[in-house]
Amino acid sequence: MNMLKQLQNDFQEYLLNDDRNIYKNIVSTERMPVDKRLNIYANAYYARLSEALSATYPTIQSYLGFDDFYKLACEYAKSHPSEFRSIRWFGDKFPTFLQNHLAEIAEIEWTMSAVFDSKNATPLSIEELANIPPESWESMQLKLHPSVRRINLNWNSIAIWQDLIQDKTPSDPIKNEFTVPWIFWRKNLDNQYCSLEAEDAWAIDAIIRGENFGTICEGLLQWNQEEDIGMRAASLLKGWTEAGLLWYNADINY
Amino acid sequence: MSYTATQNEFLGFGLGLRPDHYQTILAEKPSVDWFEILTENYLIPGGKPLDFLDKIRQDYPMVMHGVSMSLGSFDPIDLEYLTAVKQLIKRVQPKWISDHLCWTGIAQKNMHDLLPLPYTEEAIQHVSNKIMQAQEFLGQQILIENLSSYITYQQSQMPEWEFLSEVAHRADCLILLDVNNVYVSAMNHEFKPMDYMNAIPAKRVRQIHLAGHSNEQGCIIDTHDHPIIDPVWDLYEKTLRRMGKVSTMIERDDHIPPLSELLQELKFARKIADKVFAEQNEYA
Ligand SMILES: [Fe+2]
Repeated sequence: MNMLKQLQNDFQEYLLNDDRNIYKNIVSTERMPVDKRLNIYANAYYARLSEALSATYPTIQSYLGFDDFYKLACEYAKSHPSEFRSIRWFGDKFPTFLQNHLAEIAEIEWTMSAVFDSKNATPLSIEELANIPPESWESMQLKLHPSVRRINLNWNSIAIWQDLIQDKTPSDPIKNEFTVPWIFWRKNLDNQYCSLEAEDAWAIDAIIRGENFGTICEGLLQWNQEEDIGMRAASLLKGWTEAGLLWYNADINY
Repeated sequence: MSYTATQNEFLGFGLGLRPDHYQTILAEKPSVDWFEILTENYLIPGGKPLDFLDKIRQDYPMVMHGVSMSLGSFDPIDLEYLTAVKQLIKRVQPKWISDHLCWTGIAQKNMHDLLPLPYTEEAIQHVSNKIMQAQEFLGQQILIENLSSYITYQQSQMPEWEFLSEVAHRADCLILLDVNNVYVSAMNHEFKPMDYMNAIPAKRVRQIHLAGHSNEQGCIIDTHDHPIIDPVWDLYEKTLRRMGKVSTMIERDDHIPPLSELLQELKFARKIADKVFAEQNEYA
């Protein structure tokens, strides 16, 4: 193997797997033996990745305490070496690395940061909504604002997360009787989130799947009488628009 | 091919732009001549950070400083990353952009650290080729920064300053000289910092970094979390004497103090530079 490649490979293997092949290639001095020199890099590696994880998952860190979080972060770093250019995305698999309510709190934090720096877009306004001709409603395909994220939670993890943010003693974890749908999005550069009724969640998920408004109205029959569908659909649409959940863009199909 | 897109401009005295200071900067418009942004912090789709950046950019010249170009890595140049950098350049219109004379990972992995290279002919060839590719892609000369390092490879054939000078010459790139890093490496590798400074081609030095560091059990670690120490100020003064007017900035990445404290440190840098420049004018 080419020398540069070999050295980089061995150095990286040392950082990732504590492989000692690199030792013979490093100059040792009396004041600073090889061990001490390389250790600086190994320590810095885990410290930096753990710090990056704590920046994305600050409430997981305060929930577990610094030491346990650090241990967990090291395990995660060992099993998920970064392939990202920016350290901001390191930690994308952290929620699935955890379990139960912890996994959900991590999912909430990951979602919050994804919403925070997602793409900018002007939301559809009430006036623009009013301008859509009624005959187009059935075939129109709505688009959600690019910041919108939908997650489903089975624990009281939102409550625990909020306690942690406010520096309160976290509530005990309790498993919900039913799955609760949540939506996260950004309005005027500030993150928003709320839980959804089953009907609302179903309709938003249908938009995400790319269903047109006519199909969504048909689906609403699960929860409504046929004669109420028009009113119900209009009120959902108005609610989404007021919340800034919809995206007006040129390729909106109607 | 050579590029002249980068303005040879003395920007004065700048600071690293950090989120902790966004509000203060917009509200108080502090007397900082320019800001250096961390490129990777803004390689994001949208939201508040880019909004602050757009606003602050209207009042201050900016330069972009990256950590992920991995110019020394044996991996080929990362065009996807360079494309994202190019888009950000379009948005920010920086006076210039910089990265480091280092590698950050191999086989597509990223250690998120600035790792040193062996100082060999092979490495010179490799890294200067990659710098030329980056410059060609970005359509401008880039600055490469010297690291602080804690190891020397057995294979190294020359001192770091010779390596840096030769790379800069062959790639026809510019240099971001980190005075604190020279000091840290001089301590850890037992060389004289001025031997380094005297060997660097002054005409290529476009920017200077100043920073603090920590001293852990006899080993000097470049942590950017402390004020600048006296020997580094001293080295800065001597460096300016040799390099002339070079845009200077202070980096602080951890234990970030209020902006006012960094402005005091910056004033001190200005004072040193004023003294050196005045002497040079007199002499001229
Ligand atoms: Fe630096």
